[in-house]
Amino acid sequence: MSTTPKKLRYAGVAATAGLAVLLSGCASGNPAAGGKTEIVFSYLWGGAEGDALAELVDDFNESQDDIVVKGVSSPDVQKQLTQMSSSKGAFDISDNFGYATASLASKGVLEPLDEYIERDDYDLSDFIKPAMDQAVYDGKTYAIPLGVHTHQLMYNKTLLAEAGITEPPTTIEEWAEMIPKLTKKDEAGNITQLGYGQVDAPRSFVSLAFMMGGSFWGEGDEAPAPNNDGTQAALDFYYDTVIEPNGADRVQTFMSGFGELYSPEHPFYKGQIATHIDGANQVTMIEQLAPDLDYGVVPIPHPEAHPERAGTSEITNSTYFIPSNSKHKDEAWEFMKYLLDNEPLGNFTKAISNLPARQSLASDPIYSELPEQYQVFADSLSSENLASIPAVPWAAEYRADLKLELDKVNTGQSTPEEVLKALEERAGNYGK
Amino acid sequence: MSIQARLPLRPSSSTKAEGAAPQQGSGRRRTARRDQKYGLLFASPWLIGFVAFIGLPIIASAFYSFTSFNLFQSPEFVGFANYSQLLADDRFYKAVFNTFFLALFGVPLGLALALALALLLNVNVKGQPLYRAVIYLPTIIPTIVVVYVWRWLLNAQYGFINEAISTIGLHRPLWLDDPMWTKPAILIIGFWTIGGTAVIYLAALKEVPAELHEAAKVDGAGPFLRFRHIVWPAITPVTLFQVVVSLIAYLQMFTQPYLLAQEGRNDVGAGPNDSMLTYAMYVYQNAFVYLKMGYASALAWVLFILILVLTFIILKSSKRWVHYGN
Repeated sequence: MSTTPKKLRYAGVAATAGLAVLLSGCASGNPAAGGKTEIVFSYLWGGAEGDALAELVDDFNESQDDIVVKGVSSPDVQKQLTQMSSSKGAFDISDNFGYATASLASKGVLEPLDEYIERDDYDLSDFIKPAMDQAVYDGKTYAIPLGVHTHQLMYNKTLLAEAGITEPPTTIEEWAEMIPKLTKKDEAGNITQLGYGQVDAPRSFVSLAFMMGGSFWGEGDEAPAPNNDGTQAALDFYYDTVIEPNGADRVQTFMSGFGELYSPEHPFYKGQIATHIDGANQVTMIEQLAPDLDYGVVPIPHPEAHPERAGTSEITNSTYFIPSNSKHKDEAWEFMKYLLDNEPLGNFTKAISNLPARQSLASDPIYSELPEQYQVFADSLSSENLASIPAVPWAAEYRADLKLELDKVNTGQSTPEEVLKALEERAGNYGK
Repeated sequence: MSIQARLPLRPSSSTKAEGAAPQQGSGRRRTARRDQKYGLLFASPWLIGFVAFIGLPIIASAFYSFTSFNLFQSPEFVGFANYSQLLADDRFYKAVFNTFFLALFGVPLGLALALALALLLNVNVKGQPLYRAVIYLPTIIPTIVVVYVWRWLLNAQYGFINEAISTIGLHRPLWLDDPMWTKPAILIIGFWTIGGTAVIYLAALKEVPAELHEAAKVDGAGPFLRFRHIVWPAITPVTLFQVVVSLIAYLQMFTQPYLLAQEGRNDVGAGPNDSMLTYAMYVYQNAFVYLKMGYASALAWVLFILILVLTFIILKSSKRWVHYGN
């Protein structure tokens, strides 16, 4: 039968032609991208924040002859990790929190940017130093921050007024005095309103601990050391003002009725908590999800005996990075530079009410369009009391353990002393 | 001796001459080889899948359990360090305790409830098919939907369960916020989907010979005695199967506690005071949150050996309590 070899020949020709088309796509850009090199920008943001980023991608694509960016909203850290573990990358540029940089860099999945920075003489001096410090691991720069986050005290003006409180607290002592006044119970003793709510316990606790003079690292930033007077004082503050006077059971019962944090059901938006500690992104969230909420923002109150600690907060950041398995690192770097230019960076951080990582943008008039509460966060950047947990490979693990142990105070399972001791023991195993 | 050798694959013909026997034998061998080839060919998708997705990963995890491996860099041999680290890990013990607590109460209670349901469904009443469908219905709802509905039902403040409990004057438990109540909450959710087990029991009950019931009734045996001496022995083989399958399911429980405890993506939350930290959750956290693949592999192997030992013990003990009708 002569037809079979003939068919085979046709199949071979078709397969070769198909392969050639595929290979040509790989070699000189995707034909669907009009001959330009296509890079994939996978970002963890979704919703309105993702939409704001998609606009930047469109603007970049319009301005480009050589590169076309495909933006993909993929708010899944697991997926991001998995995609970075293969030999051929699924994306060329992405974002993460600054504290993850050292962990990822130590595993060799981030591309060092030093070569690009040096080649283009890229000026990093404009970026806020604590944020830039977290982007450096083992002497190399693996990421560049786009936004920074400080934490301030947010208070519900209506609830304060109902309690006869005219001014927000400036000292820890004033705040401690207010919390019982702002806590309400029904006839059966069930809590109906909490004076201070730790909706994100690690975030509140870390900033409060720094304010109390605490630290999370030992001398020389070499080893975690969470058990000290400052961290103890921060835990005691919550325990003494919320847990002890109301009972862990009743606090837990009340908190179990809290809705999702990134929704109109957020307990602060619903008036379930009168004060809490949070970041600047809340300004936009509240504008979108609870526009009628009458609230104010002030710096976290400082101890009366330590006015020099005013303006203390933890500073964290969000970064852009290029994975080491990216297929188009040069193009990804070009796009990263665009994202970090003043105009796009300003537009994006304004859209999500994040503080820009560039100092030159801090006082840019663009942010005056944001609600007035944003200004308190913006002003916080000039504080000399901003602190952060150093960039170490196990920083993410440390944060996870903080959360686990803090839960035990909330549930009344452990005293602050027991929690800090357990945290110290746990931290002793990092890196083993 | 193989089945093919003992059983003729094609009917032999007695009309054939004796001299044709050697050719007939080699023909059978050819047929057997061909059938074997086709058999392997048809089974090959499963075989390839098993080797690629189960066999090789099992071997790989055994190797990784002796290494320090973070998924991204080459594994580094550490001997038995991962296994010795287990002994000093308080969360490992917590996970073991939680998992065995769930299995210890979940398996017998779940089987007892399923059997009780099956006995009820076996009663001849009007609308019985509808009742069977209703009992089975929860098992076809995706677990994630079930858990998220139960999260609200069990909400300490607004949940329907606590509303119902408080109307009869009982204490409102903090189902998902008090370490004492989180495991009962997981068990309740598990029991809600015992329809599948009940249906298997129902099939077994249908196989119990009616004449035995009739004879026992004639002898004056009441419902309890009939269950004790006729029904129970007849369904012990099915019970053995259910015990093994349920035990393995409980020892590998992940989805329900993970969804109940998780507050955000990549979260390592495991409920208050780690009270919902099951063994499988801890394996997952080490593998994909902490990226300790070597340690996670060691944990997985310990669980595998535990399941193996327990299954062996149950099968050994079954000689004493399982009846196969002979």
